[in-house]
Amino acid sequence: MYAQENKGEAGLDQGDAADRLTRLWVANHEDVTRFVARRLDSALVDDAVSETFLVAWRRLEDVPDDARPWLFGVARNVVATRTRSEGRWRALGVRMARQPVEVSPSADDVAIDRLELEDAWLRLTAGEREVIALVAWDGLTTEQAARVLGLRPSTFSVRLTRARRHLVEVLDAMAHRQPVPSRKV
Amino acid sequence: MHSPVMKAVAELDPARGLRSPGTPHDAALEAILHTRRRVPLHTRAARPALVSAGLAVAAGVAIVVASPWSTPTAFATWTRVPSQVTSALPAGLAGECAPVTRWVDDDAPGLPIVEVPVRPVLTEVRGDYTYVVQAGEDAWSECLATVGAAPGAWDVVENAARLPEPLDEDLPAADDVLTYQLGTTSWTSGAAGAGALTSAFGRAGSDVTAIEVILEDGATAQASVDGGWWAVWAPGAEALTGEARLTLRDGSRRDVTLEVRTTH
Repeated sequence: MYAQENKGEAGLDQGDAADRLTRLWVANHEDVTRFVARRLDSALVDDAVSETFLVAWRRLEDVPDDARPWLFGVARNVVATRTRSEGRWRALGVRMARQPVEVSPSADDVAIDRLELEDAWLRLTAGEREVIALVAWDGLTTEQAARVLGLRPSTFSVRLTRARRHLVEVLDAMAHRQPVPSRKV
Repeated sequence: MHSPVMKAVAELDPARGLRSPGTPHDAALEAILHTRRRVPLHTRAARPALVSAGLAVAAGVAIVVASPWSTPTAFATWTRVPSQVTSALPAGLAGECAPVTRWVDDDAPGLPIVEVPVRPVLTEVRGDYTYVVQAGEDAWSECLATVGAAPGAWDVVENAARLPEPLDEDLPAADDVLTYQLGTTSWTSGAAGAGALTSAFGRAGSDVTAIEVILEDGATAQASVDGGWWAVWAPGAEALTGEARLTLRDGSRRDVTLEVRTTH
Protein backbone atom coordinates (compact mmCIF):
# COMPACT_ATOMS: atom_id res chain seq x y z
CA MET A 1 0.00 0.00 0.00
CA TYR A 2 1.35 3.37 -0.97
CA ALA A 3 1.27 6.13 1.57
CA GLN A 4 -0.67 8.96 0.04
CA GLU A 5 -0.58 12.60 0.85
CA ASN A 6 -3.93 14.30 0.59
CA LYS A 7 -3.67 17.65 -1.11
CA GLY A 8 -6.21 20.23 -1.99
CA GLU A 9 -7.32 20.50 -5.58
CA ALA A 10 -5.14 23.54 -6.14
CA GLY A 11 -2.07 21.67 -4.88
CA LEU A 12 -2.47 18.59 -7.08
CA ASP A 13 -1.38 19.42 -10.59
CA GLN A 14 -1.90 17.12 -13.56
CA GLY A 15 1.50 15.49 -13.18
CA ASP A 16 1.07 14.80 -9.49
CA ALA A 17 -2.43 13.53 -10.10
CA ALA A 18 -1.30 11.17 -12.85
CA ASP A 19 1.48 9.88 -10.64
CA ARG A 20 -0.87 9.28 -7.77
CA LEU A 21 -3.49 7.51 -9.84
CA THR A 22 -0.79 5.34 -11.41
CA ARG A 23 0.38 4.29 -7.97
CA LEU A 24 -3.19 3.58 -6.92
CA TRP A 25 -3.69 1.52 -10.07
CA VAL A 26 -0.55 -0.55 -9.58
CA ALA A 27 -1.23 -1.12 -5.89
CA ASN A 28 -4.93 -1.92 -6.12
CA HIS A 29 -5.87 -3.03 -9.64
CA GLU A 30 -5.79 -6.74 -8.88
CA ASP A 31 -7.74 -6.39 -5.63
CA VAL A 32 -10.38 -4.22 -7.27
CA THR A 33 -10.64 -6.63 -10.20
CA ARG A 34 -11.20 -9.54 -7.84
CA PHE A 35 -13.73 -7.55 -5.85
CA VAL A 36 -15.71 -6.78 -8.99
CA ALA A 37 -15.30 -10.27 -10.46
CA ARG A 38 -16.94 -11.77 -7.38
CA ARG A 39 -20.01 -9.65 -7.93
CA LEU A 40 -20.49 -9.02 -11.62
CA ASP A 41 -20.80 -10.87 -14.90
CA SER A 42 -17.29 -11.50 -16.22
CA ALA A 43 -18.03 -9.63 -19.44
CA LEU A 44 -18.56 -6.45 -17.45
CA VAL A 45 -15.64 -6.68 -15.05
CA ASP A 46 -13.03 -4.71 -16.98
CA ASP A 47 -15.40 -1.83 -17.64
CA ALA A 48 -16.49 -1.69 -14.02
CA VAL A 49 -12.87 -1.67 -12.83
CA SER A 50 -12.02 1.15 -15.23
CA GLU A 51 -15.08 3.07 -14.10
CA THR A 52 -13.98 2.67 -10.49
CA PHE A 53 -10.56 4.13 -11.19
CA LEU A 54 -12.13 6.85 -13.33
CA VAL A 55 -14.08 7.96 -10.26
CA ALA A 56 -10.84 7.87 -8.27
CA TRP A 57 -9.14 9.98 -10.94
CA ARG A 58 -11.84 12.61 -10.74
CA ARG A 59 -11.92 12.59 -6.97
CA LEU A 60 -8.29 12.04 -6.06
CA GLU A 61 -8.50 14.56 -3.26
CA ASP A 62 -11.10 12.37 -1.57
CA VAL A 63 -9.09 9.16 -1.74
CA PRO A 64 -7.74 8.43 1.75
CA ASP A 65 -4.40 6.92 2.65
CA ASP A 66 -6.03 3.54 3.10
CA ALA A 67 -7.34 3.56 -0.44
CA ARG A 68 -8.52 -0.02 -0.83
CA PRO A 69 -11.79 0.22 1.17
CA TRP A 70 -12.56 3.51 -0.56
CA LEU A 71 -12.02 1.93 -3.98
CA PHE A 72 -14.12 -1.07 -2.96
CA GLY A 73 -16.88 1.29 -1.87
CA VAL A 74 -16.82 3.00 -5.25
CA ALA A 75 -16.65 -0.36 -7.06
CA ARG A 76 -19.60 -1.62 -5.06
CA ASN A 77 -21.68 1.32 -6.22
CA VAL A 78 -20.54 0.84 -9.80
CA VAL A 79 -21.53 -2.83 -9.60
CA ALA A 80 -24.86 -2.01 -7.98
CA THR A 81 -25.61 0.57 -10.62
CA ARG A 82 -24.79 -1.77 -13.45
CA THR A 83 -26.81 -4.44 -11.74
CA ARG A 84 -29.85 -2.22 -11.46
CA SER A 85 -29.37 -0.89 -14.96
CA GLU A 86 -28.56 -4.06 -16.81
CA GLY A 87 -29.84 -6.88 -14.66
CA ARG A 88 -26.64 -8.85 -14.82
CA TRP A 89 -26.16 -9.39 -11.16
CA ARG A 90 -24.29 -12.43 -10.12
CA ALA A 91 -24.99 -13.24 -6.53
CA LEU A 92 -21.84 -13.69 -4.55
CA GLY A 93 -20.79 -17.27 -4.85
CA VAL A 94 -23.15 -18.32 -7.59
CA ARG A 95 -20.17 -19.63 -9.50
CA MET A 96 -18.66 -21.46 -6.59
CA ALA A 97 -19.97 -24.83 -7.61
CA ARG A 98 -17.80 -24.78 -10.67
CA GLN A 99 -14.65 -23.96 -8.77
CA PRO A 100 -12.27 -26.75 -7.77
CA VAL A 101 -12.06 -26.15 -4.06
CA GLU A 102 -10.31 -28.10 -1.39
CA VAL A 103 -11.63 -27.55 2.10
CA SER A 104 -9.42 -28.80 4.87
CA PRO A 105 -10.76 -30.12 8.14
CA SER A 106 -11.27 -27.22 10.45
CA ALA A 107 -9.30 -26.52 13.57
CA ASP A 108 -11.75 -28.36 15.74
CA ASP A 109 -11.47 -31.42 13.51
CA VAL A 110 -14.96 -31.04 12.15
CA ALA A 111 -14.78 -31.30 8.41
CA ILE A 112 -17.09 -28.94 6.57
CA ASP A 113 -18.45 -30.59 3.49
CA ARG A 114 -17.80 -28.41 0.48
CA LEU A 115 -21.10 -29.05 -1.21
CA GLU A 116 -23.02 -28.45 1.97
CA LEU A 117 -21.12 -25.22 2.51
CA GLU A 118 -21.96 -24.10 -1.01
CA ASP A 119 -25.57 -24.99 -0.46
CA ALA A 120 -25.66 -23.20 2.88
CA TRP A 121 -23.98 -20.16 1.34
CA LEU A 122 -26.66 -19.85 -1.26
CA ARG A 123 -29.33 -20.02 1.44
CA LEU A 124 -28.02 -16.83 3.03
CA THR A 125 -29.51 -13.50 2.10
CA ALA A 126 -27.60 -11.25 -0.27
CA GLY A 127 -26.81 -8.98 2.66
CA GLU A 128 -25.43 -11.84 4.72
CA ARG A 129 -23.23 -13.03 1.86
CA GLU A 130 -22.00 -9.48 1.39
CA VAL A 131 -20.74 -8.96 4.93
CA ILE A 132 -19.09 -12.37 5.08
CA ALA A 133 -17.50 -11.97 1.65
CA LEU A 134 -15.99 -8.60 2.51
CA VAL A 135 -14.02 -10.29 5.28
CA ALA A 136 -13.52 -13.83 4.00
CA TRP A 137 -12.94 -13.09 0.31
CA ASP A 138 -12.00 -9.45 0.05
CA GLY A 139 -9.70 -9.71 3.04
CA LEU A 140 -10.88 -6.58 4.81
CA THR A 141 -10.82 -5.87 8.50
CA THR A 142 -14.12 -5.17 10.21
CA GLU A 143 -13.36 -1.46 10.18
CA GLN A 144 -12.45 -1.45 6.49
CA ALA A 145 -15.48 -3.51 5.52
CA ALA A 146 -17.70 -1.13 7.48
CA ARG A 147 -16.30 1.73 5.42
CA VAL A 148 -17.15 -0.07 2.19
CA LEU A 149 -20.77 -0.37 3.27
CA GLY A 150 -20.92 3.08 4.85
CA LEU A 151 -21.62 1.60 8.27
CA ARG A 152 -20.23 2.07 11.72
CA PRO A 153 -17.79 -0.73 12.62
CA SER A 154 -20.04 -1.78 15.48
CA THR A 155 -23.01 -2.08 13.13
CA PHE A 156 -20.96 -4.12 10.68
CA SER A 157 -19.75 -6.40 13.47
CA VAL A 158 -23.32 -7.09 14.52
CA ARG A 159 -24.30 -7.94 10.96
CA LEU A 160 -21.25 -10.16 10.50
CA THR A 161 -21.96 -12.03 13.71
CA ARG A 162 -25.57 -12.58 12.67
CA ALA A 163 -24.57 -13.75 9.21
CA ARG A 164 -21.97 -16.19 10.54
CA ARG A 165 -24.44 -17.51 13.06
CA HIS A 166 -27.03 -18.03 10.35
CA LEU A 167 -24.50 -19.84 8.17
CA VAL A 168 -23.59 -22.17 11.04
CA GLU A 169 -27.26 -22.77 11.79
CA VAL A 170 -27.93 -23.73 8.20
CA LEU A 171 -24.93 -26.07 8.21
CA ASP A 172 -26.09 -27.62 11.48
CA ALA A 173 -29.56 -28.14 10.08
CA MET A 174 -28.06 -29.90 7.08
CA ALA A 175 -25.93 -32.11 9.29
CA HIS A 176 -29.00 -33.29 11.17
CA ARG A 177 -31.10 -33.91 8.12
CA GLN A 178 -31.85 -37.60 7.56
CA PRO A 179 -31.55 -39.03 5.05
CA VAL A 180 -29.36 -36.68 3.08
CA PRO A 181 -31.05 -36.00 -0.25
CA SER A 182 -29.16 -35.60 -3.46
CA ARG A 183 -28.35 -31.92 -3.82
CA LYS A 184 -28.32 -29.89 -6.98
CA VAL A 185 -25.08 -27.96 -7.40
CA MET B 1 -10.69 -14.60 10.66
CA HIS B 2 -10.17 -17.50 13.06
CA SER B 3 -13.55 -19.13 12.67
CA PRO B 4 -13.35 -22.54 10.94
CA VAL B 5 -16.44 -21.70 8.97
CA MET B 6 -14.97 -18.41 7.80
CA LYS B 7 -11.78 -20.18 6.77
CA ALA B 8 -13.80 -22.70 4.82
CA VAL B 9 -15.77 -19.93 3.14
CA ALA B 10 -12.50 -18.19 2.24
CA GLU B 11 -11.40 -21.26 0.34
CA LEU B 12 -14.54 -21.05 -1.77
CA ASP B 13 -13.61 -17.61 -3.09
CA PRO B 14 -14.43 -17.74 -6.82
CA ALA B 15 -11.82 -15.08 -7.59
CA ARG B 16 -9.06 -16.68 -5.55
CA GLY B 17 -7.10 -17.72 -8.61
CA LEU B 18 -7.71 -14.54 -10.57
CA ARG B 19 -4.55 -12.65 -11.46
CA SER B 20 -4.82 -9.14 -12.83
CA PRO B 21 -1.86 -7.03 -11.71
CA GLY B 22 -1.92 -3.40 -12.75
CA THR B 23 1.09 -1.84 -14.42
CA PRO B 24 1.88 1.80 -15.24
CA HIS B 25 1.65 0.95 -18.93
CA ASP B 26 -1.86 -0.52 -19.00
CA ALA B 27 -3.95 0.86 -21.85
CA ALA B 28 -6.97 1.23 -19.57
CA LEU B 29 -4.96 3.38 -17.19
CA GLU B 30 -3.68 5.49 -20.08
CA ALA B 31 -7.25 6.03 -21.24
CA ILE B 32 -8.27 7.28 -17.81
CA LEU B 33 -5.28 9.58 -17.53
CA HIS B 34 -6.26 11.22 -20.82
CA THR B 35 -9.68 12.22 -19.51
CA ARG B 36 -10.42 15.48 -17.76
CA ARG B 37 -10.14 15.19 -14.02
CA ARG B 38 -12.97 17.53 -13.18
CA VAL B 39 -16.19 16.82 -15.02
CA PRO B 40 -18.72 19.59 -15.54
CA LEU B 41 -21.12 19.55 -12.65
CA HIS B 42 -24.64 18.49 -13.51
CA THR B 43 -26.86 21.13 -12.04
CA ARG B 44 -29.74 23.26 -13.04
CA ALA B 45 -28.51 26.19 -11.04
CA ALA B 46 -25.07 27.42 -10.30
CA ARG B 47 -24.47 25.94 -6.90
CA PRO B 48 -25.39 22.49 -5.65
CA ALA B 49 -24.12 19.77 -7.89
CA LEU B 50 -24.11 16.02 -7.98
CA VAL B 51 -20.42 15.27 -8.28
CA SER B 52 -20.87 11.90 -9.91
CA ALA B 53 -23.43 12.93 -12.48
CA GLY B 54 -21.00 13.55 -15.33
CA LEU B 55 -19.77 10.00 -15.17
CA ALA B 56 -23.33 8.73 -14.93
CA VAL B 57 -24.29 10.46 -18.13
CA ALA B 58 -21.24 9.10 -19.90
CA ALA B 59 -22.00 5.57 -18.82
CA GLY B 60 -25.72 5.83 -19.38
CA VAL B 61 -26.41 4.96 -15.80
CA ALA B 62 -26.70 6.80 -12.54
CA ILE B 63 -24.06 6.50 -9.90
CA VAL B 64 -24.06 7.65 -6.35
CA VAL B 65 -20.53 7.40 -5.15
CA ALA B 66 -19.99 6.39 -1.58
CA SER B 67 -17.92 9.00 0.14
CA PRO B 68 -17.66 8.02 3.76
CA TRP B 69 -14.93 10.54 4.47
CA SER B 70 -16.69 13.72 3.46
CA THR B 71 -17.69 16.17 6.11
CA PRO B 72 -21.17 17.66 6.03
CA THR B 73 -20.93 21.41 5.97
CA ALA B 74 -24.37 22.24 4.67
CA PHE B 75 -27.94 21.38 5.57
CA ALA B 76 -27.94 23.45 8.74
CA THR B 77 -31.73 23.70 8.68
CA TRP B 78 -32.32 19.97 8.19
CA THR B 79 -34.80 18.45 10.63
CA ARG B 80 -35.15 14.89 11.89
CA VAL B 81 -38.89 15.02 11.26
CA PRO B 82 -40.23 16.22 7.90
CA SER B 83 -42.44 19.29 8.11
CA GLN B 84 -44.46 18.38 5.04
CA VAL B 85 -45.15 15.10 3.27
CA THR B 86 -47.16 14.89 0.08
CA SER B 87 -47.25 13.03 -3.18
CA ALA B 88 -47.53 16.28 -5.15
CA LEU B 89 -44.75 18.52 -6.33
CA PRO B 90 -44.77 22.05 -4.87
CA ALA B 91 -45.95 24.54 -7.46
CA GLY B 92 -42.73 26.49 -7.40
CA LEU B 93 -40.74 23.37 -8.05
CA ALA B 94 -42.74 22.23 -11.06
CA GLY B 95 -40.41 21.72 -13.97
CA GLU B 96 -37.28 21.80 -11.83
CA CYS B 97 -37.23 18.07 -11.13
CA ALA B 98 -36.95 16.54 -14.59
CA PRO B 99 -40.09 14.65 -15.64
CA VAL B 100 -38.04 12.36 -17.88
CA THR B 101 -34.96 10.23 -17.29
CA ARG B 102 -32.71 9.53 -20.25
CA TRP B 103 -30.64 6.42 -20.79
CA VAL B 104 -28.19 5.15 -23.32
CA ASP B 105 -29.47 1.98 -24.95
CA ASP B 106 -26.52 0.14 -26.42
CA ASP B 107 -28.79 -2.09 -28.49
CA ALA B 108 -30.63 0.73 -30.21
CA PRO B 109 -29.54 1.86 -33.71
CA GLY B 110 -28.78 5.48 -34.45
CA LEU B 111 -29.14 7.75 -31.46
CA PRO B 112 -29.40 5.23 -28.64
CA ILE B 113 -31.27 7.40 -26.15
CA VAL B 114 -34.26 5.98 -24.33
CA GLU B 115 -36.53 8.29 -22.39
CA VAL B 116 -38.43 7.01 -19.38
CA PRO B 117 -41.00 9.46 -17.95
CA VAL B 118 -41.19 9.74 -14.17
CA ARG B 119 -43.75 11.43 -11.95
CA PRO B 120 -43.58 12.58 -8.33
CA VAL B 121 -44.63 9.90 -5.87
CA LEU B 122 -43.39 11.45 -2.63
CA THR B 123 -42.27 14.93 -1.63
CA GLU B 124 -40.99 15.86 1.80
CA VAL B 125 -39.64 19.05 3.32
CA ARG B 126 -36.91 19.28 5.96
CA GLY B 127 -35.89 22.83 6.79
CA ASP B 128 -34.95 24.66 3.61
CA TYR B 129 -34.75 21.46 1.60
CA THR B 130 -37.39 19.76 -0.48
CA TYR B 131 -36.71 16.15 -1.42
CA VAL B 132 -38.72 14.54 -4.20
CA VAL B 133 -38.87 10.91 -5.24
CA GLN B 134 -40.15 10.26 -8.75
CA ALA B 135 -40.95 6.94 -10.36
CA GLY B 136 -41.67 5.65 -13.83
CA GLU B 137 -42.28 2.25 -15.32
CA ASP B 138 -38.75 0.95 -14.79
CA ALA B 139 -36.86 4.00 -13.52
CA TRP B 140 -36.73 6.26 -10.53
CA SER B 141 -35.20 9.61 -9.77
CA GLU B 142 -34.55 11.61 -6.64
CA CYS B 143 -34.39 15.35 -6.59
CA LEU B 144 -33.17 17.61 -3.78
CA ALA B 145 -34.00 21.28 -4.06
CA THR B 146 -33.37 24.37 -2.04
CA VAL B 147 -34.14 27.99 -2.73
CA GLY B 148 -31.50 29.55 -4.96
CA ALA B 149 -29.73 32.86 -4.70
CA ALA B 150 -31.90 34.58 -7.29
CA PRO B 151 -35.56 35.32 -6.47
CA GLY B 152 -37.78 32.46 -7.55
CA ALA B 153 -34.85 30.25 -8.48
CA TRP B 154 -34.19 26.79 -7.14
CA ASP B 155 -30.93 24.96 -6.78
CA VAL B 156 -31.62 21.37 -7.73
CA VAL B 157 -29.58 18.18 -7.75
CA GLU B 158 -30.85 14.95 -9.23
CA ASN B 159 -29.96 11.30 -9.37
CA ALA B 160 -31.66 8.51 -11.28
CA ALA B 161 -31.43 4.84 -12.04
CA ARG B 162 -33.09 2.41 -14.39
CA LEU B 163 -34.03 -1.06 -13.26
CA PRO B 164 -34.06 -4.32 -15.19
CA GLU B 165 -37.75 -4.89 -14.54
CA PRO B 166 -40.83 -2.72 -13.93
CA LEU B 167 -41.00 -1.16 -10.49
CA ASP B 168 -44.45 -2.60 -9.85
CA GLU B 169 -43.31 -6.15 -10.51
CA ASP B 170 -42.01 -6.61 -7.01
CA LEU B 171 -43.88 -5.06 -4.10
CA PRO B 172 -43.22 -5.47 -0.38
CA ALA B 173 -45.37 -7.51 1.96
CA ALA B 174 -47.94 -5.52 3.92
CA ASP B 175 -45.68 -5.36 6.98
CA ASP B 176 -42.41 -4.77 5.14
CA VAL B 177 -40.57 -2.25 3.00
CA LEU B 178 -38.64 -2.45 -0.24
CA THR B 179 -35.53 -0.31 -0.67
CA TYR B 180 -34.66 1.09 -4.08
CA GLN B 181 -31.91 3.42 -3.00
CA LEU B 182 -29.60 3.67 -0.02
CA GLY B 183 -26.50 5.66 -0.78
CA THR B 184 -24.39 8.74 -0.41
CA THR B 185 -24.24 11.73 -2.66
CA SER B 186 -21.44 14.26 -2.54
CA TRP B 187 -22.28 17.76 -3.54
CA THR B 188 -21.03 21.29 -3.28
CA SER B 189 -22.89 24.36 -2.19
CA GLY B 190 -21.22 27.57 -3.23
CA ALA B 191 -18.34 28.65 -1.09
CA ALA B 192 -19.43 26.32 1.68
CA GLY B 193 -17.44 23.53 0.09
CA ALA B 194 -18.26 19.90 -0.32
CA GLY B 195 -20.93 18.27 1.73
CA ALA B 196 -22.55 14.91 1.63
CA LEU B 197 -25.94 13.47 2.30
CA THR B 198 -27.27 9.97 2.62
CA SER B 199 -30.66 9.21 1.14
CA ALA B 200 -32.89 6.18 1.06
CA PHE B 201 -36.30 5.48 -0.36
CA GLY B 202 -38.50 2.71 -1.61
CA ARG B 203 -41.93 1.15 -1.32
CA ALA B 204 -43.82 0.66 1.93
CA GLY B 205 -46.28 -2.15 2.58
CA SER B 206 -49.92 -1.25 3.15
CA ASP B 207 -49.70 -1.83 6.92
CA VAL B 208 -46.62 0.36 7.42
CA THR B 209 -47.67 3.67 8.92
CA ALA B 210 -44.31 5.06 10.05
CA ILE B 211 -40.60 4.37 9.64
CA GLU B 212 -37.89 5.47 12.01
CA VAL B 213 -34.33 5.14 10.76
CA ILE B 214 -31.26 4.88 12.96
CA LEU B 215 -28.64 7.51 12.25
CA GLU B 216 -24.91 7.16 12.52
CA ASP B 217 -24.85 9.19 15.72
CA GLY B 218 -27.31 6.80 17.33
CA ALA B 219 -30.24 9.20 17.08
CA THR B 220 -33.22 8.57 14.88
CA ALA B 221 -34.96 10.35 12.04
CA GLN B 222 -38.50 9.92 10.85
CA ALA B 223 -38.90 8.87 7.26
CA SER B 224 -41.77 10.11 5.14
CA VAL B 225 -44.42 7.52 4.34
CA ASP B 226 -47.14 8.31 1.84
CA GLY B 227 -49.05 6.48 -0.85
CA GLY B 228 -47.08 3.27 -0.52
CA TRP B 229 -43.69 5.01 -0.72
CA TRP B 230 -41.18 5.99 1.91
CA ALA B 231 -38.14 8.27 1.85
CA VAL B 232 -35.60 9.82 4.15
CA TRP B 233 -32.32 11.66 3.87
CA ALA B 234 -29.87 13.08 6.37
CA PRO B 235 -26.70 15.16 6.26
CA GLY B 236 -23.46 13.23 6.27
CA ALA B 237 -21.77 10.61 4.18
CA GLU B 238 -22.69 7.72 6.43
CA ALA B 239 -25.70 9.23 8.10
CA LEU B 240 -27.98 6.21 7.77
CA THR B 241 -26.95 2.95 9.39
CA GLY B 242 -29.45 0.93 7.38
CA GLU B 243 -31.32 -0.09 10.50
CA ALA B 244 -34.95 0.97 10.76
CA ARG B 245 -38.03 0.39 12.88
CA LEU B 246 -41.41 0.07 11.20
CA THR B 247 -44.64 0.99 12.92
CA LEU B 248 -47.56 -1.04 11.63
CA ARG B 249 -51.24 -0.25 11.44
CA ASP B 250 -52.02 -2.32 14.55
CA GLY B 251 -49.48 -0.34 16.58
CA SER B 252 -46.85 -3.06 16.65
CA ARG B 253 -43.27 -2.35 15.71
CA ARG B 254 -40.81 -4.31 13.66
CA ASP B 255 -37.04 -3.81 13.20
CA VAL B 256 -35.68 -4.24 9.69
CA THR B 257 -32.42 -3.75 7.83
CA LEU B 258 -32.73 -1.57 4.76
CA GLU B 259 -30.99 -3.19 1.83
CA VAL B 260 -31.17 -2.19 -1.80
CA ARG B 261 -32.82 -4.98 -3.67
CA THR B 262 -30.81 -6.90 -6.20
CA THR B 263 -31.73 -9.28 -8.96
CA HIS B 264 -30.31 -12.78 -8.96
